[in-house]
Amino acid sequence: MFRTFLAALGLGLVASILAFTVGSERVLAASQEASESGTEHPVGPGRVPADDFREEILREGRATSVEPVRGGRLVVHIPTRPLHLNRVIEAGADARRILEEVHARLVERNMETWELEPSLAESIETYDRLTYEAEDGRDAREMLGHVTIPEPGHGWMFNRLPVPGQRPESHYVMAKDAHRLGLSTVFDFRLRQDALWHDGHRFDADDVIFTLDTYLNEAVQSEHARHLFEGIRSYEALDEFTVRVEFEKSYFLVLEIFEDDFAILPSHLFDLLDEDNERFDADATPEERAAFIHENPHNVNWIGLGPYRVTEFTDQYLEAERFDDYFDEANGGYADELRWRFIPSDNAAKQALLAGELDFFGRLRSRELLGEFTAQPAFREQYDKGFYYSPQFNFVAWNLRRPLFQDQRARRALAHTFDWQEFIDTIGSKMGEAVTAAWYRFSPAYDAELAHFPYSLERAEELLAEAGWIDRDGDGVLDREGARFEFEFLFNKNDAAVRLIGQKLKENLERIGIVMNMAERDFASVQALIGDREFDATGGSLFLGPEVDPVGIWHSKGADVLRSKNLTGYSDAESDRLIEAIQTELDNDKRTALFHELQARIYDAQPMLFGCMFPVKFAVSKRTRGVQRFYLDPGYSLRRWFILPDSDR
Amino acid sequence: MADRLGPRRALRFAFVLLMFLYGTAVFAPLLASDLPLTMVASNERAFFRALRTLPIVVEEAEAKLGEGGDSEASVRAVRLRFDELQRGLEGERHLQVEELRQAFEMLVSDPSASGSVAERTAQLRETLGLEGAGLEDSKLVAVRSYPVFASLTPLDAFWMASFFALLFAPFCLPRRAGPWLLGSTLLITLSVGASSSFGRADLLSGLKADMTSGDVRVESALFVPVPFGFAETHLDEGFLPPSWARTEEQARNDSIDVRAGEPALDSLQRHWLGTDALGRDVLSRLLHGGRLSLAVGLLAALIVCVLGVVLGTAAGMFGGWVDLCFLRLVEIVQSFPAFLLILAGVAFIPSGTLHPAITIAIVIGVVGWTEIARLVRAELLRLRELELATAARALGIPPLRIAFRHLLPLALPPVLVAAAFATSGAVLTESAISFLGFGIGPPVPSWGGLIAVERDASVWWLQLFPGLFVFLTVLAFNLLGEGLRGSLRAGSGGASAMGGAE
Amino acid sequence: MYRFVLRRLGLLIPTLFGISVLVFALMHLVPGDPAAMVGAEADGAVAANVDATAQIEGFRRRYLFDQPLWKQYLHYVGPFSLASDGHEWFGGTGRDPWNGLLVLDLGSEFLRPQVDVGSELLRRLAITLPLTALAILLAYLLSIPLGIYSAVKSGSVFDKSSAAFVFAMYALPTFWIGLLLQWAFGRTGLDWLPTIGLTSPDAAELEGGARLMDRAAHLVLPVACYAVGSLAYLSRQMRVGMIEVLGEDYVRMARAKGLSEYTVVSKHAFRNSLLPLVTLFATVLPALVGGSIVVETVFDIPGMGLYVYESLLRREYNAIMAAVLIGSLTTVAGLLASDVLYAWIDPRIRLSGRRTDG
Repeated sequence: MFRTFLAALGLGLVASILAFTVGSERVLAASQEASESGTEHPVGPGRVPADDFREEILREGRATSVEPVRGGRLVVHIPTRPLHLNRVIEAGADARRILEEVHARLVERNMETWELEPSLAESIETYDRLTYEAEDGRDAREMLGHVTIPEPGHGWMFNRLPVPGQRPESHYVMAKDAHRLGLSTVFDFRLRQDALWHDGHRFDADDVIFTLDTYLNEAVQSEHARHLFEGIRSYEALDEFTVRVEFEKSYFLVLEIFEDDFAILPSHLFDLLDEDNERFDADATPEERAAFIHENPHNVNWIGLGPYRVTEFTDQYLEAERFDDYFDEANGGYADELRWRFIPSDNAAKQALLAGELDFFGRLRSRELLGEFTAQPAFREQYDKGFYYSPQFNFVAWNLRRPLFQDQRARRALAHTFDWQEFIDTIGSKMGEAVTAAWYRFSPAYDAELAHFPYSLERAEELLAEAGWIDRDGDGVLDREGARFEFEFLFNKNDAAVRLIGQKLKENLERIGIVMNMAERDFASVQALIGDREFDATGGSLFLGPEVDPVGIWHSKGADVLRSKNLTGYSDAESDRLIEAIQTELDNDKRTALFHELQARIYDAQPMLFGCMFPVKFAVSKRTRGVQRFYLDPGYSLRRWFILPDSDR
Repeated sequence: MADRLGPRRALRFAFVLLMFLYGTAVFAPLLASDLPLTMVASNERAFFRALRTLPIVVEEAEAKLGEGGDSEASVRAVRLRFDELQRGLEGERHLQVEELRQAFEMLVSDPSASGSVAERTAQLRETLGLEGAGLEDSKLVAVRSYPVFASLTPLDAFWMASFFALLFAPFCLPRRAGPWLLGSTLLITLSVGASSSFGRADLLSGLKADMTSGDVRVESALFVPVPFGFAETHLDEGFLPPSWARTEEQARNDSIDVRAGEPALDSLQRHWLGTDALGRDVLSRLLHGGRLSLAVGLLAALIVCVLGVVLGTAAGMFGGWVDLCFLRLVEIVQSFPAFLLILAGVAFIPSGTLHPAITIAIVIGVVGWTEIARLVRAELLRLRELELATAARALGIPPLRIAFRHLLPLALPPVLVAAAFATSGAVLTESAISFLGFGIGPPVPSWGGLIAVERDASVWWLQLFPGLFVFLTVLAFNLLGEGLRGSLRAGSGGASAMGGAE
Repeated sequence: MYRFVLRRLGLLIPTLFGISVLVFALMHLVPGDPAAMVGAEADGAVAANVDATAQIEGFRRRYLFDQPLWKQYLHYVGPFSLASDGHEWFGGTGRDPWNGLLVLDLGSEFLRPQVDVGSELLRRLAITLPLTALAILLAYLLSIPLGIYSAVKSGSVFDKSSAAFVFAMYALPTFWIGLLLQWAFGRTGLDWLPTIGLTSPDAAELEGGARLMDRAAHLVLPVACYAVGSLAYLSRQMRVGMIEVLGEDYVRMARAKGLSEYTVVSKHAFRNSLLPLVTLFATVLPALVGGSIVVETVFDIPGMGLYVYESLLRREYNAIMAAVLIGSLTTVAGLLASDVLYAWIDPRIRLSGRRTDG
């Protein structure tokens, strides 16, 4: 009996192993078949080349010149269900993707040229407001106009806004009196008059004013964005369709704020003080107004201004129907319905993909993109694949507050210890970019000429020896004054890329005598520990925007503040000066030059082991057309997609 | 099942299986390593590094000696370097270094003497005629070394020795000592094994890479059967299927560089069980992972037994409110979320103070002692009523003594059985914890952790084999438990449990 | 008997409070709080442009995370709310004065304030319970006859092979068998059964019968996975117990009396061999409610196990406390139930008044 048991066990094991190898061979064989016909590098759905920054609109690559047709339903995958669509009280990224089609903004960024273009605001006029106070209190003036500085170091020329019926007026303020000048920037937003909310109500200045009130209302849970609007000195509605907002200083990201962070709420549904509101209450306190916003059912039953109107919002999906009264008909979408499916598990989403239930899935891994998953018939028959870059990158950061990393020579030595290109070539299957700055690789602010320090362990060893790090006691670990070069690398266990980077880095460092202990924790622990600066080195990924204000991460004012974005503790006076200059510089070219300078400076100091970025790898269904990839988040624009009628497939 | 098998057979089978698993775990460094067992080679890299850093340490040493401070560490550093240099040289060059060394030693013994060695050491390279020399013509002496053995820690050696003891024990020791022997060897091995370290940061770390690049010129080297380290990455060999399941194309991928001591690209010996995401050999990681899983399992079982026996005895012997507290404690512990405790333990106890393996073992132990405790308590309640106990009480022997000296030995057999099952349970739990991602961090492998990284069906080898090993381990301990149960209960149950192991 | 039950129920309250204090303390010892999750992207990336400091501070103030632990605990237990809009006696505005355990309010999630913990738990339970109940039922239904039959036919081929098979099953790790089942029966293998989740993605659009079939198909693999371990254990217990009982004197007496094997087994032996299974009930009840994190992870089932796991990762203190309290409640209830059943089945125990198993 004993023998039978052994035999059975053995047979069972052999059988299962055989089964899997045979099975896997089948799959492998299929993939080989497929890869022969494929390209060695999938560039988009086979129809469009990668777009370059600031070049013309992508050309439709497929030979057909099919005209866009209306109709059908597009189903897009989103990993997490947003709680609601009111971005004033919540800062999640998933809601933003949906709101892209379901809502509109004052200004919108052109996906191809990255310029901010008017949308709900037909036009925007910018002036400066000058307040000038004379020594004796007399001669105080206040006027709107434009400031020019004819020559630096000399006085300011102020040209008042032309007023009909009056002569143009200019004033000259001497440099020595500059301290008596107050200068603020004024934006006049002239709103469209034909924009309608999805319930038919007209969009007007009241909505904008109310939204500004809401952001600044302390009782509203809008802390994530409030600081962006705290630089506003005043705002008012000049008439039914004009809003004037005055900022205390000029700031290069002001319009960006109105593009990305300013989510307009319909005052007739959210504002207790709006007479059109059903629940109008003239004596509402700010707390009551806040509570009304927080608990408003329209957070979920969203009424927006975009080309698509939300019809259903369940646990599984959000569905939106095309809104035919959208103000920009040419850009109003072709598909009749858009559905965003919430599938948190990637495995389940991939199953849905293979079953043909999704039109777009953006979470493929590079192994799947180039491997069996996309080679199987179920995939190939229904989908095309591709990738695009989104503003996100992986990094390793040193804690400059720790004695080990205070020495810049040591940090620069460490910069030679990781071969980013090899990492990208192997783990990323050659899809990725090595980056040298904490801003978007494909933005003008990024200096692509700045080269990485070359990968050389010998050079690292030399530099460390120069800094005094030698293995004196022969135990294999570098030491200096009795201290070993040993530190702990803290990271989020769920971050796959950083995990791999960490392990490879550890191996490399061990070869030159540095011990790096890996400490993986769950996300909340990592955030808490980083916030309290209880780490030696950490790794993670940063999500950027097209333009980034470097003040959060690189300015010294955050270096000693717990839980600020300046996790490395970087503090450099010259960098501070550059950052402050960037913040107020409105000229694009000059600002770009400043960014490049700052990038070089920061890279030189090596507070981070600057890293790499991996693209988003997606699958899009074959029946869709008009799919273009952009370098801006979310990387695609659903309203341009249309579904090919069966006859044309 | 053991009844069918016969307790003897079950025990034997369990023994064989356990020895196999145990053996592979204990001897993992000798079975799978990127270091050779022995080699005759000249380490150019170390040599030139020593040459380069010698002036610096000499200068430091002289400064220290001059000040009159504690110069022992600096002097030792210098001596180390001289050793390294002399090791690689012979003949006249050896003498030249010797001369310099003597000069230095004179300075050490008499710091006030004049003369500085530092300058001469800076020119040593020139003196030896190695100025501008490439590595190829430096003509260093090749020496024999035993890298693998040098990388073993004393604990590793102890674990290996104890393995042999365990292996031959059944043949050497009297039969009746069986369960006790098992118990005590479990005790020894787990306390030792659990504290084995995985780190091995010494100059040997980059040895294989140096051998491949020629920085270490090898005349002959003997590698271990699986010449891959468990943390050794081959980035371009990621996700390679097992060698016997590979397709033609995968086998002929020329862009992969074959490092020193590794089998050829198309050979069957290259990655028997495939590789993981970073190109690390799965078999090597499995073997090393066994150390961790077994150690955690055994340590947890020990804690479970100790806690269970102590608390159960207390409750059983004293009764009354002690018993009441015990029962409430059992309730609390049983309903406590083990996971929270693990999270807290791993997060809260920094990995410096306590090896995460020990933390996890402690947590599993603290959460799992209830069953054994209740068992012991039940047994004691029963045994208390026996004449033996009544008599002892009448004699005035203190209750604790009665418990530990007289009653507990009778209650032990079921405890041993439960201990075997506790071990298998602990191994299962540890692998489940690692699977969920809360086990020991990288790069230390653990069986559950190997599975967790990739759950895609296309990389089946990453899940099949670790799971198989867990299965075999658990099976082995279960068989052990069954065998013990059968053999210890042979004859009537109860008081004469100890009589006749067969 | 009633006094015994009542006394045990009375001890429940202090036990629960003890557990709540312990778990509360432990939860807060772990670094991080829900505020850490605020302002983070879904995949853990940190947004460079967003300065969430003010938001995090506001979040902390709102939910009392900046208060000392004992105050937070008191706020959790209630009945007074110590929040800024809580009871007036403690400085609140009085808008929402009552909350906490003592008023049976389990709170709501911090990161999703409109989700009430109690109702979320019920929802998750509705997913987990069918799964675990089916699995345990299956395990019991299969193991009892299997155990009895192989005990009765002790020594036969059936007994030997089933014993071996069951023994091997017992050693299988749950996650491994889950993965293997997925491969064997899923898309990569025979493709007979769905392997992810409890429903097909488009289940909402199926009508009654088809939907039921879909649900049933999704349940097969998780239930099998879950039942494997318990089945093995139970049948072994059953068999061992049965063999022991069949060797007892009174059974031999019954046989000697000339009663048929069937009567002997079913009338005399069966009842007594059930005893070990009854004591297992204590562990069954919490497992029923708690679900299995491993099975739910492997099959992507959003049940109770996964909920507790995710809550731990997101530091949803209210959810964790609620789940733990429910868990301990069921554990204690299970222990009590098994004691009562044990006493009921074995008259000896009842009569002698002594319990050999607390």
